[in-house]
Amino acid sequence: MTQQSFDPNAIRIEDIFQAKRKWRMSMANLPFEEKIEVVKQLKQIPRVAERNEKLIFSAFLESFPELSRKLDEWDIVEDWYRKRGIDPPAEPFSNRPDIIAKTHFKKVIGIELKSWLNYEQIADARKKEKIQERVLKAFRDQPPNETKHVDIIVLYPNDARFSSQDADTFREQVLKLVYETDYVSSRLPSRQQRRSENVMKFDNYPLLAKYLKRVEIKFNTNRRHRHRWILGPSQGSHFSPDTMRQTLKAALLKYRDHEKYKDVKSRVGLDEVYLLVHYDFRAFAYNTPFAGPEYGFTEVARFAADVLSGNAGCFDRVFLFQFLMGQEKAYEVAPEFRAVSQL
Amino acid sequence: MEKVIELLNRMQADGVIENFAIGGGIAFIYYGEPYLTNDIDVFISPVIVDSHGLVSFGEIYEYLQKLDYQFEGEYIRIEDWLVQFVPASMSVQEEAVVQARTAAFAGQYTRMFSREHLAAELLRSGRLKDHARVLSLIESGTVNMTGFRDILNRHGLIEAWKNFSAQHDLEGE
Repeated sequence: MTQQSFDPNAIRIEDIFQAKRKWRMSMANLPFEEKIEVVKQLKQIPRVAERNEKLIFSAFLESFPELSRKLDEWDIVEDWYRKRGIDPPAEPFSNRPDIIAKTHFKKVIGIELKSWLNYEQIADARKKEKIQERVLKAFRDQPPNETKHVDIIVLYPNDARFSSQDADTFREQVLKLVYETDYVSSRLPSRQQRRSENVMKFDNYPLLAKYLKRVEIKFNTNRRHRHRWILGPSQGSHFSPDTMRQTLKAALLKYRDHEKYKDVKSRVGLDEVYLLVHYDFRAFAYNTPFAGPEYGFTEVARFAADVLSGNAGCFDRVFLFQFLMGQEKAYEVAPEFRAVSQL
Repeated sequence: MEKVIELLNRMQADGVIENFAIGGGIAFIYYGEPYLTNDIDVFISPVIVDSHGLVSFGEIYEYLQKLDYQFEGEYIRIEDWLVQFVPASMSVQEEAVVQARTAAFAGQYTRMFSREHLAAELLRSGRLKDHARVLSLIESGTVNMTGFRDILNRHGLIEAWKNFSAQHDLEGE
């Protein structure tokens, strides 16, 4: 993907992994001595996670001026103790919130940052993308569309690993299915003709049964000529917005009621503790964008508020933050629902 | 790093350790991309066991103490590195030490796990970050897969590999 053609909505998970792979290869090819120098340099800079935490919380405060105005000082937890010469509370260290802040009225607030990101989902998405790519390789050279009614077909692969030895027969069977469906459709009176058909039974097509969950055939008699008419499911997105919402729901419920936050206020000496669930570029790149034509961040925040039903659990307040450059938005989602950024 | 390599070679020359090889994160960096790590895992063989049947590091600690090195838990600090001596008690580790390759660093030589043994050991240890490194090594295309499979076979790791490769869609590797 070139700089000129960069379109964040068109990024596929595999693009990100490939870019990462290229970077890793170039680093791996450095002489060992140079690599050790890089390690030494890495030791000198703050942890990536710490930098991210600072970045996210700074952006959150910019989006939430009401809170920003109340705060006298804040820091990531390690710096909070180190810079002020305060003895940190007893271990376990990982059970402290990521950020500690103090208000003008000396109230100490802990803020736990959690990414709305599901690594299993990423791994699963990557696997699905690979499978889809292999299946579509059989149609790298797309045959001309000589059907009467078929506009496009979408192949939905299952989880089976596609063998390139099956490619020719697979291609033949897909086209046979399409032309047969087209023939049947063309014999129907026009009022009975459908706009699309989902084929899920492949009794006469063993390779389709082996590799596909379903084939969606879209009809259009006034179709325009398409060079590519055999496609995979919406490239770059393998989840429905509902999957995305379910990921958020699972994350919210898990964090809200997690054992490790139950006595965090008394252990760390906080007056209040907030949970800040953020949706950042990684989530954007790796997961399904949650926004649809009538479904944006506001709706997602409302969904989050419904999930929590006013119960912030171990936390005093729960926030949802969209951390996308230039599109930052924040909502309080529990115990009350309200926009905290100027939308 | 120079100091660590120098010390390891000296320990071997003085007979404090018989055979050793660097594994873990530094071995990964040798073959792959650098990342932040503070520790150097030095696998030693043979494993010396005391009269209670416990692995003994007595001679190593004594030797290093005489040289004024500081201990931090199970680590010994050498410059800004934390060096850990790990007994090569698993068969794959033992073989990795015996079959280690020679690696050059700043005009000195040390012994490093081979790519294949490193990948097998990381697969065996099974931590999430270790598995990420196995994946990275395999995807780099530089691991001799026949040799790697032989190692897995010899050390009962085939089942772990089957699960791992299915999970990461590497069945054809």
